[in-house]
Amino acid sequence: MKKRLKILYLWLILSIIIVTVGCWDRRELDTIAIVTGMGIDTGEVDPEQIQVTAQIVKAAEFQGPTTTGGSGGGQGKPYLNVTNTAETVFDAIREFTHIVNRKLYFPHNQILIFGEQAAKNGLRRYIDFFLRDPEPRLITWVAVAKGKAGDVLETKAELEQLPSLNISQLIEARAATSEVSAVNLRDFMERLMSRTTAPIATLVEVKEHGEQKIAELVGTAVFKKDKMVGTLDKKETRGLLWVLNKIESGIIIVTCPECKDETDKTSLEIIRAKGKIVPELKNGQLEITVKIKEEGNLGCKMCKQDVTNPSHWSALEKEKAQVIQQEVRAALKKAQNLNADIFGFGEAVHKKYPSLWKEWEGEWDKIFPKLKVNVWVEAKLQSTGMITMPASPGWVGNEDAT
Amino acid sequence: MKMQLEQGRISSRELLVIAFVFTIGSSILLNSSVLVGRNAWLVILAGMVEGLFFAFIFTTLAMRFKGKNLVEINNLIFGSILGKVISLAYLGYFLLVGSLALRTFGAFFVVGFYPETPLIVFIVLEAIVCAYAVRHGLEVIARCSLIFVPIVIIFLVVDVFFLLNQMDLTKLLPFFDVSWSQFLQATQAIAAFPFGETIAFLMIFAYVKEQQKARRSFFLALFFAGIILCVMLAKVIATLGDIVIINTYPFLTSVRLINVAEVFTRLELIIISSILMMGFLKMAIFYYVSTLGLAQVFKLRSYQPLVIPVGIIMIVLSMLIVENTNEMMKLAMYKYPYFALPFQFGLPLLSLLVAAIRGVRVKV
Repeated sequence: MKKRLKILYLWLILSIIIVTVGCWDRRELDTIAIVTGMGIDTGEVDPEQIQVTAQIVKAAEFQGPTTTGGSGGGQGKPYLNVTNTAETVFDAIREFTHIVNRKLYFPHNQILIFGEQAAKNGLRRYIDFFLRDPEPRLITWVAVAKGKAGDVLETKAELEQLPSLNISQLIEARAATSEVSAVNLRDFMERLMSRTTAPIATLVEVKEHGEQKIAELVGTAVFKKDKMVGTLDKKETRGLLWVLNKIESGIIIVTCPECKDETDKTSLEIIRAKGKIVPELKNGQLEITVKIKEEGNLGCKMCKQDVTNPSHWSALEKEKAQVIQQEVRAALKKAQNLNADIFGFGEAVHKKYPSLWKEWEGEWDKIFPKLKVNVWVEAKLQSTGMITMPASPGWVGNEDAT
Repeated sequence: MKMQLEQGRISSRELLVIAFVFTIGSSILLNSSVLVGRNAWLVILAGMVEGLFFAFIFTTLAMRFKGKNLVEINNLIFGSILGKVISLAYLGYFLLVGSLALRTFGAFFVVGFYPETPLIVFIVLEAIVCAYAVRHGLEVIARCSLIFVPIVIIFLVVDVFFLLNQMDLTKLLPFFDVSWSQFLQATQAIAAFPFGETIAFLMIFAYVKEQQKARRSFFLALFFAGIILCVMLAKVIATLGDIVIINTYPFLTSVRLINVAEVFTRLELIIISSILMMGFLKMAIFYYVSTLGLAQVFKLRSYQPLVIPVGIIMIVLSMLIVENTNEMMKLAMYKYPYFALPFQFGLPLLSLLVAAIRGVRVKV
């Protein structure tokens, strides 16, 4: 009898557990609107207001990879962009329920795009919600649009069905060139909270290709505190990434050291690179040395000079180091002109000289633009690839070749 | 000899495990870096040293009165009337801290996962589970902890391992970048919560089978818990950097960052559930010592009838103790470290002194 009672209890408990899962905060799939991208702009009429654009997935319109149009998927776009203007971000988001019958659901948001004007006004007003609310995640990418953020979410992506997903994957694909910075909300906030380090974000631009509008990553937006003050182009961005140790791959173009032909360039592929910031005190004067070690392969060569020649090989390495040097210098110059410590030199000094830092911290805005920075580059070439000498007649028996 | 209210006995290894889990308990969730930012992991170590000093004092008391728990010790040292008053003060403190633990976990679930669910739902659910464990006595709680500890440790290791790709250990530098006053203030906060709270074990030492080994196991437990807390906090700082200062629940925020090749993501519920296991034990221990102590003070024959009333008191207290989450955080950081000092340090020291002066010992 007692045993039977126990089993009954067990069933009772199990059924209660199953039935009462999430009485209050349940979110059924058919009552939520999954957001994959957010755009934030200043209001069109009143710039003090905030215009929020949310990209919502329309699951019914989604076309599977095997669907060849017709009956299966719908004909429309697989996403819906809704825009609303309000006093605060949260307000604007909640008021979407006047336009969309479902409540927006943020955990799958891929990217947060800020319009240029909003970024120039300062992001603190807009970004708080995305940390305070439990739904958005810190691994969301942060980007700044040239122009309006809402326009970026309207661009056409040929390979992806959702513009927001397209942009977030463009950011992930930046590893192939390392010419665009990839910044997620965590990195951005960390820099925003630092007293000296300037925040950065990916810069997106809407470009017109004939009839179509497509989104293209064009470099880096530079902030001072929370206000956008300038941009870096692709070369400058790579200069920044060398220093930040965020280079993954990429192509370096050099002029052939032998024929010096400006039209016949040589491309060298970056395989791995390491960047390091070393602050030093020389005669009481603060100096920064940036140390960069790079390793790469020969990628393609347009002229017919013999690369297997050791002197040519080391000349190529020198040329490459020169180019890296130039890229870093370009980024440095831009940053010092903007007076934005995007490299985190201040943090590096803080870590190395914690006691002296207390004097410098308040003065950093005056120190940074005049800071002496030495750039030390060691570039190596590993292999010539699948061929050695460029394809050209007459290598055999050529006296000059060896 | 009078019949003891608690018949169960635990081994010294079980004591080690309970004290270990108890110490990590809820403090892994809350933000210990508000005062000192990236130096917080050093503060944990300093707090552990201070906590071990507290523990040295009250374990000396326990060793002097082997086989007697806190209420019995107070009766022996201060006489039956004053002793009872002091015992009631301790029990009030245990009830209060237990309610705070209930509140901490309830608020955590409301803020982090279920914003629209009323707080009381979580608090009542926690209390029911704890009441069940308390009703079955110390041995059951001990066995629970033996089952939970491997799970907890595995999940914490998984958590650190999966976050390796997000960590940057240079974010921990420079060491000791705060003023002494801030450092000491934060150290006292850590010593009071969680290390000093192990004063509750004065009610439990008496039931350890191998009395000789109890002290050693207890110190080891505090030490391991300190190391784990330090590593977990260092992990949080290495992943979040300076954002850690503004986070309500830095541990949760760092777990939410897990992303290994887009496959292992959104693991927070699994890892947080292991934290809940530790929280359960912490709440259950405070609940248990309060119930047992009250039964002894009022000379009941069994503590079981008190389980439900004490549970209700704890639920009510946890709802009333603070008005909102903000107040709770301020309490934990700025008021609690000084409020707890008399119970964790003052009274045990006083008891020792009086016992030495009066020459009170346990009769063997």
